[in-house]
Amino acid sequence: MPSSATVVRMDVEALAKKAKAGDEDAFTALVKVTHADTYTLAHRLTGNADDASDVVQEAYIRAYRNLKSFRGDAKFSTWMYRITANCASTHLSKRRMNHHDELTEFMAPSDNTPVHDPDFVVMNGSLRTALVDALQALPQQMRAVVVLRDVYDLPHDNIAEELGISVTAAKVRLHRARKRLRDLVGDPHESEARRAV
Amino acid sequence: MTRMKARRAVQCESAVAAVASLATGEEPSNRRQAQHVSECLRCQAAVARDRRLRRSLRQLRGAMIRPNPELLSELLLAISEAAADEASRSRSRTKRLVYMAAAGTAAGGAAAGGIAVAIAMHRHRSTFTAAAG
Ligand SMILES: [Zn+2]
Repeated sequence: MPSSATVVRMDVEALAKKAKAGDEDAFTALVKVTHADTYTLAHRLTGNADDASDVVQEAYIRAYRNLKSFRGDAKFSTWMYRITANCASTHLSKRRMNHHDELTEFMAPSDNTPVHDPDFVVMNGSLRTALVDALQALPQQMRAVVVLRDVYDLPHDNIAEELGISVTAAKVRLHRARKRLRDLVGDPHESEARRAV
Repeated sequence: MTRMKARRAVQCESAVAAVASLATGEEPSNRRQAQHVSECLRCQAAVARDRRLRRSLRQLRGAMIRPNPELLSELLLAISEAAADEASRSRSRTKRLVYMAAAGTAAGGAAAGGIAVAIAMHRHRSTFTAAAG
């Protein structure tokens, strides 16, 4: 029997197919099923609830307008992550131009409570908190590559395209982001070992 | 720092893209960088540390952040407005095409026939209903 997560995934792909064919009720259902996941990515990229909500709204409107360009060979979630990454990048660079960016570095996340997800493997709670805090402390452009590559597993070329940088620049930025994270949280392996003692 | 150590540090710095690829489980695209990593204990240690970090980060994937409960209704409202915009743009395109079709009748039946097809393709009445919940 397929797990509930698999059923939801199958539903999402079926809904995306219907929405692409012009079924607007299917698009509404897609938004309902996927918005919390999209919001989570937007929150991880922007670091605060207000920007995340704006980014999610922009992302779904863009998805709605470009549904015809969604190719069934990619998963809907991957397509949505790419749009969200692009919207977050545009949104945050507009804010930088308005000189308000410094706020994002110091805003505490509004609610990081994990909701039930069958695929979620329990990680030491304090390590997770340390990682989330360290991600928030990264400069926005470093945070984007590490979140998209290491948390969401998007390919380097997709990340480079959505952030408007070269693949090599994305890899260099990823390396620096990982190093900065390690400096902030320590080596996860060593931290876990220390806590186990 | 000795000259050799300094040279090694420069090489490590120029191999960071390869370290990033290897920690992600991919083949580095640059052979010289890959060669350096295969001979450099410092870079290999960085690959191992980044792999462990990546495994921990991957687990954040399952931890959803709860959106504000109003977000869904706001989203559906915004999308329905976008759909209405699209429909009104489509209607004005249709009007333009009708005007062009009328003007084009004199220019020949074939062109008008083409425009009629275009009108049919652009006719779009949005039925988007944004009921939240
Ligand atoms: Zn090295």
